[in-house]
Amino acid sequence: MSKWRTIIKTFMYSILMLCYVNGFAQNDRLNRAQQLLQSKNADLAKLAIDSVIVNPETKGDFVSWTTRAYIYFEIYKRSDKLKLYSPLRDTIISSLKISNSLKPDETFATNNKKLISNISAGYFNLSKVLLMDSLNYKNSLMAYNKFKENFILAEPGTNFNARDIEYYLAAGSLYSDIFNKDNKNTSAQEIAKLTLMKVLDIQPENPSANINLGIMYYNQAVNLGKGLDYGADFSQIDVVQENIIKLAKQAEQFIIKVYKVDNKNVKAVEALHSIYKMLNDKAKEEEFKKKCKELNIKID
Amino acid sequence: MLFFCVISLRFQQPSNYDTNSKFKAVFLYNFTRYFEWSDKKKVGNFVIYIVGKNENLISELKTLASKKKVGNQDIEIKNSYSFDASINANIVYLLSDISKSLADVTSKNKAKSTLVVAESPNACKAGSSINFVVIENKLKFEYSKNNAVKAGLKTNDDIKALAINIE
Repeated sequence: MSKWRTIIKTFMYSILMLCYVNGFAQNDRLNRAQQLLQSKNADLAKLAIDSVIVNPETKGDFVSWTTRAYIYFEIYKRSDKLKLYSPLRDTIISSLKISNSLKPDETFATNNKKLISNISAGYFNLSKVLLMDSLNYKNSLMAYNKFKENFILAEPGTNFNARDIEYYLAAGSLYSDIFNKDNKNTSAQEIAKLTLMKVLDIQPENPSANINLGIMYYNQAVNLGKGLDYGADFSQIDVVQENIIKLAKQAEQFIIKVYKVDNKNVKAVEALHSIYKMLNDKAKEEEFKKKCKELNIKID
Repeated sequence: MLFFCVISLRFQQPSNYDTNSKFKAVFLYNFTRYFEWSDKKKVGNFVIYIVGKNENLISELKTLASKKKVGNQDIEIKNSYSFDASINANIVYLLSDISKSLADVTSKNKAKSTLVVAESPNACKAGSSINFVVIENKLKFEYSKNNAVKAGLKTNDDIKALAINIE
């Protein structure tokens, strides 16, 4: 009996010893991962840290998770910065979130914030590239929303209204430009309308959005007129006139908002002159012709 | 953010294309389907004579002339700022700035197989066969069959259904 007791006792000691040694081993692995990160050997560091964060001894330590985020960030920088979908980036973000949930000390909290800011800035740059270079609004918007989602982790309580206005105005301006150059590009027109309307949802009086939307409707009406065949019969002329009037009146609604706030707004006065001319409203056309002269706006 | 800020401040430019001139050009071409000119006027070019100043309209009509014909006749566009009776036109179009000359123009074109078109109030009462008017922002036209007959044109009554009839 006492022999068995000795065996069990020895076994229990062994288990405890093993756990203790393993704990040291895990901490050693964390140190090793950190050293590898410092020596720019991120791939080996990744292997080490991935075993650290699954070990019960170290997985509850914010140091492990922040270290993991920084190691993955090194690899991400090399290959994934311009990718919209990056599992490496996702791992960085999830690691930072776990680290933050484990109540990190001030140094680690600051480092977490720095890294998340860097990641959100990356998304922002990506939204810019996708919008301007690739003309891929859908993906650009996705990147922009990711930018906001991550930025708020670093700076909780941020109000994005001003940034949203700038982003949607930029997209709206870009796509209305495309539509004005190629009036068959209706998808560009739709994006322009959608983005500019988003600006007006946030700031109904925004002059740029109102003017660009108004001018887009006006130019759409112009294009209908341009497209009318010289041989069109009276009924076709009538339909085109109806549609032009509808569009010109829509254009007027947007531009007049700007004019009511600022009756010296050059763009609004110029656009209203064109709209009233299109609407055959002689009295208003003359009124705005006079205003154009007063503001030194060249017309006709 | 500065990057987006710069783009977002860009304004679109309203097109300076004149849709009303386009409509007037298309209307004028349509009128040629509803009248018949004398045999003398069926030879040579089909002359549309614009009296007054409207560069956009002249430009539209010149484009029209390069693309369309009236029967077998090429379309020729003539323009002067005051009425020139020596121009033998199929259509004389008096712009609003020259409307005072309407009575003079219609008397000089009596029985000459010329369609007189104007764009001033009561122009049909003053002798014009066609007069452009604006009703609820829309360009329409008044029509005087009597004046057209007096001008020596054969008329097609189908146009009456499309016009605001005077008399």
